[in-house]
Amino acid sequence: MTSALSPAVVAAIDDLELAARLVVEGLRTGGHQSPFHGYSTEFRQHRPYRAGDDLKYLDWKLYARSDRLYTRQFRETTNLSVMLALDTSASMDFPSGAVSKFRYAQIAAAALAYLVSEQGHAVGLMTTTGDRLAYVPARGGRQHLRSLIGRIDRLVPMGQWDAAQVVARSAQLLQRRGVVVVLSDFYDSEDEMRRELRRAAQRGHDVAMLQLISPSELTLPFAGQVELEDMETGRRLLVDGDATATSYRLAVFEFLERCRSHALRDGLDYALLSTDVAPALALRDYLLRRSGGHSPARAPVAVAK
Amino acid sequence: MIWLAPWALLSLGAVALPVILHLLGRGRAVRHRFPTLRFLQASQLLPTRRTRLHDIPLLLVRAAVIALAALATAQPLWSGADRRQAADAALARAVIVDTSSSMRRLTVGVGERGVDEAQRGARQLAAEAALSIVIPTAYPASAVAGASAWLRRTAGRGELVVVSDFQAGTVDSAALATVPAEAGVRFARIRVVSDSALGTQLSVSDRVVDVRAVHSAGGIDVSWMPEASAAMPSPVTIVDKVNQSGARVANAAAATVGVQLPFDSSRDIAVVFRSSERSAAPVHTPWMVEALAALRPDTTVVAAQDSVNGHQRLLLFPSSSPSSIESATLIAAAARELSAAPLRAELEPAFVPDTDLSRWERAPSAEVTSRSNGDPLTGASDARWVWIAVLLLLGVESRMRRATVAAQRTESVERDRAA
Repeated sequence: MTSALSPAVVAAIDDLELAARLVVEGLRTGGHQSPFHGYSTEFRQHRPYRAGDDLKYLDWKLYARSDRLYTRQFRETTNLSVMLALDTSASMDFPSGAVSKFRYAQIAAAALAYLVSEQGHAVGLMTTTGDRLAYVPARGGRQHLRSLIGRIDRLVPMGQWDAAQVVARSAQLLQRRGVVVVLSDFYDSEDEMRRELRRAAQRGHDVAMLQLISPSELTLPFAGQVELEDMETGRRLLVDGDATATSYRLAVFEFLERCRSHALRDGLDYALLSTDVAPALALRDYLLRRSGGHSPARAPVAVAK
Repeated sequence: MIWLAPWALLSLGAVALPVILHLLGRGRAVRHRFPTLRFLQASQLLPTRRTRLHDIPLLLVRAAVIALAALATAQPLWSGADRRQAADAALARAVIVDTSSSMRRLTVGVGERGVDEAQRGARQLAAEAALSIVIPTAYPASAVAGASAWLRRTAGRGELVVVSDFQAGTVDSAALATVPAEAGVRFARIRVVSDSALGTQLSVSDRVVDVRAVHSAGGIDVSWMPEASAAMPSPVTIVDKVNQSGARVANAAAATVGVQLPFDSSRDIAVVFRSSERSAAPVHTPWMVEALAALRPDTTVVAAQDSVNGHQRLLLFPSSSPSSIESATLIAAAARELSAAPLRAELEPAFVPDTDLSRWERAPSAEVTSRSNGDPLTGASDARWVWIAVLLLLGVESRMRRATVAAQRTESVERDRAA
């Protein structure tokens, strides 16, 4: 049984690279293999089989003809590009005083980058800092990985982000078919975001929606009269927490279900990452589904009243 | 408890103000930052109103501050037993001294001037009081209003004293009406003598009568002196059962005793000498009963009445001789009772009667009323103690308010953390 570190413990680790590594170790403890595989099928040459070669690359036809084992080599075995699109809007900085969605997304993104890079693939970053796009090209190598994780660690959530533009640019900048992983709460520009995700998938990219949410967003944890301030727009509203709770929960559930169903319909990967679940467990769930093919994403569970 | 400014108690209604503001106002809702408001429907965002009171201790402290401030503005005065005793002892006395010309006469018996005796007495009266004022004036009636105004401004019990010979016009009920109801009124009469008599002439019917009035210690003595001694028919019927000469002698003797005045012919008195007749009825007619009481005849005179030609007559049967002094006096007295003119109403008195002064006198009120201007000794109310209590409560309110705000902040942070 895998003993994954709790979100609070992982989030408490200042070194994001270390935290990512621990999460990945937690994944590997479960015996999961990387679901990220290269898409390139350009054959380069044969070479004699050496002990340790992956058996799936053995050319069985040649063995049948020559009675000798040869391993097929492709043009590039490290030609998978993964672009991480990270939501840096202010709504991701909730809740305060606990593991925020943004910190959780940072850990998940760093862990994915670590996993992808260790597999020999390229990984990049697309996000926004303020009103400007921040882009790290997808590359491989340990040095690039450390630089990338460092860049992720320095991001600060603020204001709003142009989700559609980030996804669109991510898909454009991937020169070959790759993987676009979007880590967000998907509160912003829902329709535009969905359209760009669909386009990215239509371009041949493998698109994954990792939707982040905190338990307190599933319910309205306020009693009596409270004034709520939108973290992105600053708008304030006076609400009665007791009278509003039920309809709020229903609206949130419908939103999450809508995101999941549309992802399923558009052939996207979908995972709901709750900040109260250990990052390793949450990512494992996603990676399991990815390894098993395009299985339907787990439906969000309606929160009991 | 006495309130020196009771009108300020109306401000007690302001106690309801913090409660009303609390219920009408929206109150300060705790603010929380939330990722998005898109899941909150517009119909659920109507401002809610607090219909319940909370933080009641703080509300009670605020209400107490307002209530005590209102009470302090009303200037309370605690009327304890020792304060009442001090107020009773603290008599304020206004002494009006008559310095008119009549007071320059010598006093009866002592022989000093009346004004000197009055001023000495006024100083004595002023020294006996805790607060006093002496007003020498030739017009005491005019000074009563000023003395009354001074009494109203003083604390404790008050008294007005007038020292005078009280000639007619010195004081009257109209002037005394300005004296405060709770203040006492007292009169000290200085008796002065007069070295001249007052005389006048009075015309009665067809005769002129000299009337002389002389001031004396007992009042006024009036003597009637007829100008002429011409014989007049006697209003009293004189009957001598023995002979008529006795009647004539009695009539002449009566004329020397008193003045013959016009008589009331509807009344009839007969003096019957030397008669043994006793068949007349006892006296029962009202004017006869009154006349008998005024005559006060001795026991030797028998009284009765009879009817003569439908006319009631009072019968007097003296046992004395017709020529005696007793008979003459009785006849003269009977004649005065039949007189149509009063004897003593011709001259008005020159002094205010003792009866009037007695009727106007009264003792100062025994109660310390709200008219008092604070402590009879210091003049201050007890409002300062109430203001001190207000300041203390304001400090308590400030600390409670800060504690409430701090608790709300802590609760907000804990809620955010729990979320």
